[in-house]
Amino acid sequence: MLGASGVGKTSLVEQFVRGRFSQRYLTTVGVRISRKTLSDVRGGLELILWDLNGEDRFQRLSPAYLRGMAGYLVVIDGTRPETIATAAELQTRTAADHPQIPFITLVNKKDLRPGWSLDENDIAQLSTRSPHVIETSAKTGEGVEKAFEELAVLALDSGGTDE
Amino acid sequence: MSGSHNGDLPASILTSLDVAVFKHLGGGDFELSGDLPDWLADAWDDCAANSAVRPHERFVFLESFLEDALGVWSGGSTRDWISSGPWTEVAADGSELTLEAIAIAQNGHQALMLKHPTADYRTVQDILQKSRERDMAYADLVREINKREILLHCIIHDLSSPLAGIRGSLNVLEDDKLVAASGTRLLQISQNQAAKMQQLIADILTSFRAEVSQMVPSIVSLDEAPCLRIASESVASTLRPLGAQQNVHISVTEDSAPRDTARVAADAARLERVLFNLVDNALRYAPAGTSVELAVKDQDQTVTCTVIDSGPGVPEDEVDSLFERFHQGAGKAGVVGLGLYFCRITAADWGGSVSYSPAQSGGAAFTLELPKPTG
Repeated sequence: MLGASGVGKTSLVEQFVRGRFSQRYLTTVGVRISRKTLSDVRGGLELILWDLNGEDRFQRLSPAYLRGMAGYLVVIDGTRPETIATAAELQTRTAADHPQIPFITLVNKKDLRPGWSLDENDIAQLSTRSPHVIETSAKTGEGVEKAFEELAVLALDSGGTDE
Repeated sequence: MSGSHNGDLPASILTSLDVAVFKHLGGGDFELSGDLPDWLADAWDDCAANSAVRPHERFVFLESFLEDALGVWSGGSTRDWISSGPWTEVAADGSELTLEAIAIAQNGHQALMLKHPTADYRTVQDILQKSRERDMAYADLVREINKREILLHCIIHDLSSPLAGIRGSLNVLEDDKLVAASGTRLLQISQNQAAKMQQLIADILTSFRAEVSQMVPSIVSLDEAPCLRIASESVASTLRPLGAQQNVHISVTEDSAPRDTARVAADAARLERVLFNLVDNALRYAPAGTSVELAVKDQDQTVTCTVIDSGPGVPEDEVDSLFERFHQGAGKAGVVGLGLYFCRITAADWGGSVSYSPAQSGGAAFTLELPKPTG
């Protein structure tokens, strides 16, 4: 899970793994590792989810955390257009070291969509950078399962990790 | 890599340090020195003292860290120790265990330590938490200001459109010399007053800036819930004179359900503004000699009002951006582009929606769908 701080990476994992959502923001320091079994996808598989600290002026993402990954989600906060730039930079850096690893861009906080500051141009630009863009809400769960399951399938189809 | 020995620290010292120490045997193999601290034993029940273990098989995070650690242990690094930084293992029940790993190479000894993050970790987390909360609060404030600015633009849009119509009509009266000489003076006064009114709108908007926030959004009680049919008729009535100028007839058609069932969860004033914008938009595109229809339908859980015109419809490549801010239809460069955006965000505030579809007649059909009030 990559993205700027506060975009909802931890909340997306919590919603996906445990089906719960907390309104309270709790910053991630380092990495949070969770597991989730997908029994209905390709005969069943276990996902190990690395929820990485958000990147901002206080913390940078350690490239070491990306070793061995099979796929990644780049998360944007639909209410904060500035998180697009952070996501784009993270994705560019990640793709430089892991060019074959599939990824999906998530535009999170869909439950606040009336207040989104992204316009269609922003979404269109995202689509040019990312072959897969999914709108999600960690709060309602909309799009969350789809995002992780699609990434799992992409990862399997691409042949696993880059190690 | 060859095996090594970390020197034999008494188990009591390791216990008092509250850390788990593993001698590196080579590759991914280790041997636990002493006992596991209680806080770690609970999470790693098959790790026994003086037995070979593979910590990265219990903590997947270490798979990555051991690559860096091997650099330290092999002498390939300029440093004789390296920290993983904190990481958190989240168990299936949601419980969390935050750890830090340290790889050390000293005097030929190679060891891996697992420990609780230092007190600094909590301090860093607290500082980061507060700093990020402040950043996000600031961003929220900026967004709120931006939202109010949008509302101001909407008001300008709403007030400017009819005023522009008035000024245009006055200019036509003057240009086509439709006013008798005795009325010329009154015409000039009207033109001047309309111009002053435009300036006044700008001044009023400035002074009412602080009050704009009160416009969003309000809870509507069942008793106050407006009827979508009545609101549609009211707006149609207001805009009929403008339609008549364009030779466009405005009609309201209803289904046969009782009026009381057409109540919607909205506030009356803004509901009429939404409908006004939809009909005003239709009038911009409706050719002379056609009509604009407001079709009200009582659905099961919602009530809809579809505004249908016989214009050219919306080009396919514009449909997706139709309800975005500052969208300007083809050939409508003078339009601010906030009317439909306002409709969308307002309907969404009430739990409803505004959507577009091509009309069967070939024109445009905009449907406002609002939930019925509950409770």
